[in-house]
Amino acid sequence: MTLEAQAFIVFCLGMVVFMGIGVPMAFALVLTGAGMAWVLGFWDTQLLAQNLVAGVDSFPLLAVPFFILAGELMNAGGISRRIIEMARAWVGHIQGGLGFVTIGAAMLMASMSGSALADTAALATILLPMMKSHGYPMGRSAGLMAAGGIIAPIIPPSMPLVIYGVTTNTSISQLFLAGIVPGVIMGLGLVIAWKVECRRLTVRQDPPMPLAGRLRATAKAFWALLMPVIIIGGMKTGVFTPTEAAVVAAFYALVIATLVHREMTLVQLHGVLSRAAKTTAIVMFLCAGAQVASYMVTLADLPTVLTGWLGDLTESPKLLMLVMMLLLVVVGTALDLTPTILIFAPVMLPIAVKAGIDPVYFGLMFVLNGTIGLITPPVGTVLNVVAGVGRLRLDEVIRGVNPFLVVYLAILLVFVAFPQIVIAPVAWLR
Amino acid sequence: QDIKPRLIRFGYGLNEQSNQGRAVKLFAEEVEKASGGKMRVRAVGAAALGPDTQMQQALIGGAQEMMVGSTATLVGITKEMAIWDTPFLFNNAKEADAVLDGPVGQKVMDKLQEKGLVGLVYWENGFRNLTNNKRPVAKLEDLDGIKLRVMQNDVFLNSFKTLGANAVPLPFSELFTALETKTVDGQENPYNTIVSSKFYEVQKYLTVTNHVYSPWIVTVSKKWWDGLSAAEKKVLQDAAVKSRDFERQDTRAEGAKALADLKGKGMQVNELPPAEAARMRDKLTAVNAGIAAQVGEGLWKEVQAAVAQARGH
Amino acid sequence: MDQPVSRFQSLASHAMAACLAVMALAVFLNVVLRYGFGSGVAASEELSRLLFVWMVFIGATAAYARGEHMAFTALLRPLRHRAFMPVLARLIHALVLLACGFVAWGAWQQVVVGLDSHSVILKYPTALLPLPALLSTAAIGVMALGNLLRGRLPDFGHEAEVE
Ligand code: NA
Ligand code: NA
Repeated sequence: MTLEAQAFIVFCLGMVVFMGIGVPMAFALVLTGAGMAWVLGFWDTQLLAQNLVAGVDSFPLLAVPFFILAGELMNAGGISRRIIEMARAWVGHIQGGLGFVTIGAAMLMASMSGSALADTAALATILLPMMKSHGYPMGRSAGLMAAGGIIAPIIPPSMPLVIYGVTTNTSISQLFLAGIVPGVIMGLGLVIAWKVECRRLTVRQDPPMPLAGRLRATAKAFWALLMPVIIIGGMKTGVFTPTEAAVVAAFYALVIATLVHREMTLVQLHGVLSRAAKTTAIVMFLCAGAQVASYMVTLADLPTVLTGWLGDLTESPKLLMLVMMLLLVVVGTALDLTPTILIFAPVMLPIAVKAGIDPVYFGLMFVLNGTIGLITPPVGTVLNVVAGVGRLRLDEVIRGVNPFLVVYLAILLVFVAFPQIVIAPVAWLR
Repeated sequence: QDIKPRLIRFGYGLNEQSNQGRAVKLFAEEVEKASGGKMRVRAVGAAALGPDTQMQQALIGGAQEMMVGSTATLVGITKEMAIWDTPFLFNNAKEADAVLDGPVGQKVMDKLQEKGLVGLVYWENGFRNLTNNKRPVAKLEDLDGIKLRVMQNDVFLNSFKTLGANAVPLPFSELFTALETKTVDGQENPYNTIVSSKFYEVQKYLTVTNHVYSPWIVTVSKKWWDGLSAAEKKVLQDAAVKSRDFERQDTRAEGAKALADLKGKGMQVNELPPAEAARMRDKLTAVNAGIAAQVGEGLWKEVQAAVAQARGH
Repeated sequence: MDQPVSRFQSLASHAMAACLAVMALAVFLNVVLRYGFGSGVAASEELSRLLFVWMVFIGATAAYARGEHMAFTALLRPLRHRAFMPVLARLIHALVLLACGFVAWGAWQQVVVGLDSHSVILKYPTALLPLPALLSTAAIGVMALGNLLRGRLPDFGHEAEVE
């Protein structure tokens, strides 16, 4: 057996055994990397230590803490609340209105925040009690929150797209551009699904708000609405790079929260900073551990080995894409988004590229698929968040999310069949 | 012959198809041939063993045997390496070869030994040239107000600031996007890099400035080197010299082709007149004094003398 | 939680908040300088990257103490009341200890190597990069050893904190 094949077996065994018995993933990745280093003749603890550090010693990755910070500031500074209030003023009165409020607010917030968890938490905190008091079924409503929340990593800015871009060396700004249209399509898909759902509902409706009230709510959200304009516009016109866009977003949110909305004091800022730092450290330590393993994956040239095994499949990009997407759906049921990116993307992207699949398209599809995994049982972090915030049973939320999950999977299939839907807008937006 | 079976892990930054990759391949073949197949080189490109700085630390610690990389990234380890960052030090490749391969080049290379590295030979990355989107740079004043990306290194930053450009430090990884979105107006790199990084897609003017000559250097872990027999050391040294001669020829041929390519891709090319280069050099007295202070006046004078000798004065 | 642990947590939280604030300021300053004045600080990137590395390792140490590292516990959770659980828990702690031992030993060697090298712009000793990895894995290793001896059961319900 070749060294590469041995390394591949060590990789698979290490991942399955160490992670399966519950070793924290970062350490499981270090041990797997160590095992592969041994097999490949690269054994030296210095290499393990060096790569653990190298995994986080990266400028583009700084976007992650900055986007988390921006999201925390948005929630603490009343920005998210104003967006939701504005959406309610416009569409709160129509049949099933609060559902459409959820979808609209989710999409607007997605264009400011890069984190599904932060968005979902904000949505569920404010909207779930409202929907409850209006008599909406809780399971279905919670499912909608979860489905709306995961639009955040698809519409730019996006933390998972940053991590994907850094891990696979794909242009982050192009990934961002590629996310706009699919994100909007996800939102439209939810609108259709919710329309079908709410035909059967009998709920209390808000009275329509007069135009003056609507305009007042919009004016209150003005500074919040300017945020995506600044982020996307600034990146497109070259005022700043994607990494810097994250820091600009955080500063903008800080100024709005403290000086304009006056909803945050500098004392609270310390809490926001250390919360963002804590969250970052946990995700990034996983990146650190993954670098140890992926260093060895590169040395063992696993993608080439796998391409050889896949044989004829690589001749048909669409079929290959379908197979990889199905694999990722299965992976996504049990594994969270960040570890999925860190473990699978470096192995799968080279195979896709060799088969002639556009790397930006592949990246967006990969992250979209992994994001859907956040709302599939048994392990669906976003489901946990909604259940936690709404004090609901997890299985109730799981049943509630089903119709929206089906819509998302259908969208995924459509994108596999017609890659142009994702690729064409990127070329046009550049 | 006193040659044992050895595996040499050799890391480099560019990909296999680059001038760097081709030269590493030749080195590997020469080593295997000369050692009768006993010494094998496991060449790993595309920075898969990490960026230059990471590999350097691995070499010093004995976790990796060999690498080739930029001399500029060695300045933090051996301050004398900063001498090769001097703007307008060499007028042409002939001068560079003579000085780098001569006694003073060897002297700078030997300084690495105190820090746990052994330098074998200098390869050529190339003369750096300027591209931008604003205007052709035909004289010193044309640099005024051009937002120019430079390496994150104070010598480059200060040099271009002194020359009147708005020098902006930016990581190479962000450079293409920054040029595309006009975050910066221009950048400076050798022809081969301008072609391989597709900067021609987002840059209009190319000025042949030859403002800095960038060498690469082939280094060995001293921890490992000290355990080699004289015969083994000779195998590596001879192969390194062969790879150097091949690499320089190959790089120059590729550079000429790259320049033609860039013209073909529609870049507007002009040459900086020697008189303007001289004016720029004069303006950089303070920057040069800083480099001289860093590397030591003695070494600075030796290098200047070697350059003068190469010019035939 | 006993006294030294919570004091470490609060110290870590202050240090991390400070790191993040300085990182944000350094990067933001460069945007302002470039857009407003066509210049920039070469040190900004190097400084923010170094602080980022420290922030992550300080945070990882504190997160281990709180039992918050991401782990895959879906298979484990249904078995949590089984008799073999304490044994499995000890195995997990032993494996974490092993990983930390490897990294700490390698990081120590890299710290020694890095004492004699300096970064390109700020000229800080290169040892400052592997140092947080050394301190962090040493501390986590000690905690893991404690958990191993006490046979502490793994934390459930920390699949992931963010996406
Ligand atoms: Na987003
Ligand atoms: Na899932």
